Amino acid sequence: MRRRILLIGAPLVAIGLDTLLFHQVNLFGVRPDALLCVVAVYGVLNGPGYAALTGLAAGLFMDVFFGRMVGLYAACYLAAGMAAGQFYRKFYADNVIVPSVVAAVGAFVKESAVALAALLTGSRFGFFSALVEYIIPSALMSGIMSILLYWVSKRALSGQMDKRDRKVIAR
Amino acid sequence: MKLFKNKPVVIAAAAVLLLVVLALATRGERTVTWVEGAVGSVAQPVQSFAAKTSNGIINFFRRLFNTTDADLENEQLRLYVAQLEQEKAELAAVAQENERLRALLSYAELEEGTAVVTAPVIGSAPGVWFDTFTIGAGRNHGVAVDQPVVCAAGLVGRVTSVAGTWAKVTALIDSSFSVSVMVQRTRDNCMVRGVLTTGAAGMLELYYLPSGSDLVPGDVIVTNGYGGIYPKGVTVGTVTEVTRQAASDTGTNAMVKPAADFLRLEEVMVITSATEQEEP
Repeated sequence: MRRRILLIGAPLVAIGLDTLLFHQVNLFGVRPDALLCVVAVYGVLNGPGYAALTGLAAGLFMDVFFGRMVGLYAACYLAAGMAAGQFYRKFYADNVIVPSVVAAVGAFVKESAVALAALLTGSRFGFFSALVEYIIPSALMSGIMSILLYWVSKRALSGQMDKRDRKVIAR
Repeated sequence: MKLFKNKPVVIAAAAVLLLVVLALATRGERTVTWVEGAVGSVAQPVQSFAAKTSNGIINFFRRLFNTTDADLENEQLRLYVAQLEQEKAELAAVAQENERLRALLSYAELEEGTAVVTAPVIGSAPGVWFDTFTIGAGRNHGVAVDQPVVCAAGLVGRVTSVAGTWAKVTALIDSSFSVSVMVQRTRDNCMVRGVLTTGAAGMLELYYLPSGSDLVPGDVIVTNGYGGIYPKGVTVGTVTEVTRQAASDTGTNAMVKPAADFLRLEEVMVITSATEQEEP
């Protein structure tokens, strides 16, 4: 039950943070990507399937409701979930560096992709100044936020088994 | 090559590719499909509730931390200045047009029968790249694409896509947004466009100002009504810095601070009269 609540609730809270709270509460305009942190941590903790599906569903919602292009956020979060899932069960569970680096790199790639999409749709700004002033600080913030999220998620999921674990034990 | 034998990775890569193609195909202005409309309509009440809750929490903490004498005095002075500015705008509009509605809404020269729809802001695009936000009123309320969106302080933006119960608005400060304006004092026509800023407040660039124009910081910029989308006389912002006096093709003549506070936008008004007039 706890697992289900976390799996469904965390992306919803992250969408709320990204679209409502971080718009008003941020550090000199720089804000982390909470949804990307969730997707990255899900990928590392639960595997690529969960993370990619969560990223796809949440990304499509963001595209429809807030985006200018349908599919942009969905593609970014799906790819981030799939990439994060490649680290599933490949390191010690106490290692917070891996989810943090995955989230930071994912945020860097995603922000760069969205910035290029903005340029493509007629926005005017210098990409390299945006890289220094926003993309890199935002990626670092996402990395730091994912450490906190990973720690909370790991504690919440401790003792909780997913379907694959149950199958292994049943055999 | 081992990666290509991994079926889930190949499926995900294909999905990402399809989504990128979809994003490229939908990058222009277009009507919201029924699928998008349905998804948005289901999610809209939840998002509205979340927006109200979030605003409540933010306002609570703002009040909590604004408790020192200096903060309170600052807040009172800010309110007083805002009140004076509002009164000044109202008096100017009354003198020009002598209409109560124009003064209340801080814009002038609206056509007869102008109708507005008040809508709550229920969320903004994440990140800084797109300054778009979603409002809780749509086609069912009379909202249509290209209708201007204002708040009590001035111009906010333009409706860019509409579903049944919600609509997306591109804000004035979006870096792809431009609007034809004039300097209220000198009546010089020019343009303003949004500037992408990673800082807290959005800014506007003023360009195409005629040569020799006497523009000074503090000048109020209002819409000139060209193009037919925005009514004439809606306050856009105030000049904060004059960077170049001579006109040029792409050069910026001045920086303008928008009249609307985009960080604390909770409710907006959509001017719906233009669409109503077009209907048979």
